[in-house]
Amino acid sequence: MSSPRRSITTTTSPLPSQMFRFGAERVMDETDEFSYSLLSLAPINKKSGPGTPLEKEGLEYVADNPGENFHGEEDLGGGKYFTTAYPDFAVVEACVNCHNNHKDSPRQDLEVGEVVGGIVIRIPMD
Amino acid sequence: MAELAAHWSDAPPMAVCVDCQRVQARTFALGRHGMRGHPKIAKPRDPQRALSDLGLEAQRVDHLDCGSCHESHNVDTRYAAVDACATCHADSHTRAYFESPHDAKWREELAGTAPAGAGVSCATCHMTKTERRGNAITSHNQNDNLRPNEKMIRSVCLDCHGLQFSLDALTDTRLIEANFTGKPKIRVESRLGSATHTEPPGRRRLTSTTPCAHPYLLQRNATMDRRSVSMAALFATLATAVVASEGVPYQRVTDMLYQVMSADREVYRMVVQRLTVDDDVLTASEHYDDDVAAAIADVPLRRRAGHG
Repeated sequence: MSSPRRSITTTTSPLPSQMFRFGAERVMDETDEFSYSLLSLAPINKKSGPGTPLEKEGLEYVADNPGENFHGEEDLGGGKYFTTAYPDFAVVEACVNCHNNHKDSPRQDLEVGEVVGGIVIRIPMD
Repeated sequence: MAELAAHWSDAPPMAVCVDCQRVQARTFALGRHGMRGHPKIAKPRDPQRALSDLGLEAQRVDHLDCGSCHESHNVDTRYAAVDACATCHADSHTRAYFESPHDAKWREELAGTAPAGAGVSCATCHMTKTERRGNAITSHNQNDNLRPNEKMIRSVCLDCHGLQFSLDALTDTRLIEANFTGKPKIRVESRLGSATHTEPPGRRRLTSTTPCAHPYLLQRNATMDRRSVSMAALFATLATAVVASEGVPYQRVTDMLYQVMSADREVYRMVVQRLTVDDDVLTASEHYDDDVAAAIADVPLRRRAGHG
């Protein structure tokens, strides 16, 4: 379950967004009752962009309607899923600094308190 | 009698005492007072002999030995425990001692109005006693628990005071200068108090500056992270069972999951903030080995299709 790269050393720690994803991966190892991920329309890591049309729609919705949530159903790989998107806010300066200054970031105009992406939770319905 | 008179010395050299007082001599040599006899330091040259070799008049050279604190033929440990110290030390900590509550107790003990052990002398804190084969051994190494002064907590302070009070007192330099007359004006925020009950005895390391960076706490935080994730998975399993049996809307389930996740995220953000900015002992980095992560969304689909 645990691999060496996941151990917390005394000098370096994962960023909050990475830690969140490690949790998501671990949940995926333990159960297929639900899954979740941290996604963005302007991700630094290209893998964190929307992967389905509904995810894209959800991310756009939470970005355009701050504080509101998005939910919908989608058919993926022959199964039916209930998919929700919750806004993820840039709560501290550190989020903003990295997202505005990282060479791989598509955005440079993020401000503290703005929606930077979304948490997508998915539950199989059958 | 004549033989005794012939061998008599008013101030016998240390070698005479050491014949019997082995433990005292051994620990004395480890501290600053007796370091000229430290087993790992080369023996000092005899300055008197060196001076006479140069044709200069031999002079008396001061150095500390047993007789510095104990009168050679009238050893009084009570005198050695306080008054002997003050014949050399005249700093504010020493001078303030004689006005301190610790000294008041010591005087009461000397007067017989307080039981033995009630007083706190210089030696009580700086020359700790340990028990060996039923005998009390007094360490003659005054430097043993001196720096960092947290070393004094376990060996001395906790005999009478609580951990938090001791930590606070030893951090308050003005209070130390006043020889602990008064109360600590500094409050050391430490989570070690809550950590002590599960940590193996004897391995506890007290620190007043970076409590959050204690390796034990780091390890505990990592464990807590794993536990909270497992709890989220358990919660989800239960939640989906509820959905199936009672028709609870899916969105209520995801709302609850989101709340759990948000709380976890907030906690981790606080931990990182504290370790990276407040205590400055960690660097939060995207290069924390991040290159093998798979995209999340499509894994359940692969699993469902038989590849997972």
